[in-house]
Amino acid sequence: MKSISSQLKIGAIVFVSVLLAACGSTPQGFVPLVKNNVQNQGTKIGFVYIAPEDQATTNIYGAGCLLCYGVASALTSSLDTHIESEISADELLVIKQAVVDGYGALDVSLQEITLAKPIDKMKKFDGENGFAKRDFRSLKQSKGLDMLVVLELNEHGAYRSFSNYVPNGDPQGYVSGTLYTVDLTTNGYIQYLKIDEKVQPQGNWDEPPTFPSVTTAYYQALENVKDSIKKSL
Amino acid sequence: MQIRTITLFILCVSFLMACGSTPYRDDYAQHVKLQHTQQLNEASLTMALADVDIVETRGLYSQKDEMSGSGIMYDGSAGLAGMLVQIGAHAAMVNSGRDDKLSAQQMQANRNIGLLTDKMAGRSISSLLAANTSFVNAEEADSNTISIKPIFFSNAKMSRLSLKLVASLPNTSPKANLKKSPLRYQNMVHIYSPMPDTNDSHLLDISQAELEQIYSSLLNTALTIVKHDVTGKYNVEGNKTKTFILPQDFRNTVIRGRLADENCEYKIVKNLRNWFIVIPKDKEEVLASANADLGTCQS
Repeated sequence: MKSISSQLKIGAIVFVSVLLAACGSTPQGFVPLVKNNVQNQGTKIGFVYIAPEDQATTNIYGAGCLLCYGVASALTSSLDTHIESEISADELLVIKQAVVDGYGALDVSLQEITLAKPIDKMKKFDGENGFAKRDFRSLKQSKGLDMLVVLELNEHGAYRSFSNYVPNGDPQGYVSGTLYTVDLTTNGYIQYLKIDEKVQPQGNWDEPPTFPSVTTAYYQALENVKDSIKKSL
Repeated sequence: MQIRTITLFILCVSFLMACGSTPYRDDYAQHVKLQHTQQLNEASLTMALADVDIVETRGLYSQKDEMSGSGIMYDGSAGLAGMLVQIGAHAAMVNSGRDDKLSAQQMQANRNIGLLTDKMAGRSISSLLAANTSFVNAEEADSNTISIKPIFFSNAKMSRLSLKLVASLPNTSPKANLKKSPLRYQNMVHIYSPMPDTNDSHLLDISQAELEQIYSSLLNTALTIVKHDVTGKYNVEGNKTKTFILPQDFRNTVIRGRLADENCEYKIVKNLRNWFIVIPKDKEEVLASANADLGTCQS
């Protein structure tokens, strides 16, 4: 009995320690592209585009309880209906094209490839900041590449922040994801850009059924992301 | 007791929905479509100012009014009804904060362009109108007089102007509920002056006459578009909705809409709100348009 309770105590201490260690880790910061790294003659660079798993919708943050989330969802339900019917994942292809064009402007041609397994199922890489979280080094041999560009878009549509039940502001046009380039020899980042674009709608947002302000804010978010990518490459 | 709690809950959610709405602005117009049978004849239409005959110039600002997430704990000992009251109070605080933030931003933006507003201080809107404008006083207005409210805007650098012009016609139908539908037409024209070649306070450096010419050009172009709209010239049905880009100081602005018209200087786009957004063409586009013979350029 005593040994079980002491084991539980040790387990709880280890769990809390691991949790605190994870909370304390530094997120990956912006890594600017050093053009010389990708412009060497003969360098083969692959490109992977990962679209969001979920369709466009209003992404709710800050509704900290189940009932809060229910109220928040109710407040944005007609906007959700509009976004889900009007905005498809094809709208994000302009961002994909911006990456291809950005590298094209550096005289670098990207070779679009398909990964054998999803990135989140790949082997983890135990490295510090500046290194990819997953181990891409096997692609050097299997795909014959020197570097890999990954454009991963997670969420798009609208973003709305809540303090539990209360909205902090209007729904904003929203695109989020990451764009990074990995050296397949070291698994280190040659370039890293966190994409988290939110655009305030101009004027009244709550105009069902077409919500013109929020819709325009979404397309503005796409344009801003294209601009950020162009400036970062 | 249960019915009272449910009623309070419904009232609270309704209150939250109302509190989530955007603060009121006068440079905004709900589009009211003019019925085809009520379109006007250009020869007979007149215009009158909705407000005082003074040029108003405001500064542009970001209009981000989102409040930072306030960590708040509700006191559960007051019961469900008490918690709903607390939520309502929290919502009122956040909404008031947003109004204050927007108001402060507008006041600061206006202070930033003080030198420009001083330059145009006391100028009348009527003095900027083209000679052929059929302009009447408010007392002479009839049911076919278009009421106009122009508001000019300047960027913080005072290098570029834009104009928002709200135009409306009163509802004259004898069967109309005037409280619910006071207007038979309302729309807005938002027109931008071309991007300046220099990066400095261009509007302060030019002469008074040149500055007034820019104001006048924006105003008269907007009025021409309003006239064309109420006379049924623009037909965008069948045009595809596209993304148009308006170059700005730091970032391009997206206009989502359908092309209504274009000439050698401007593209006129009807946006998702059915407002007219007038996008100036850059020099290469102007040259291409002139070569394509897209109509006379406005001087």
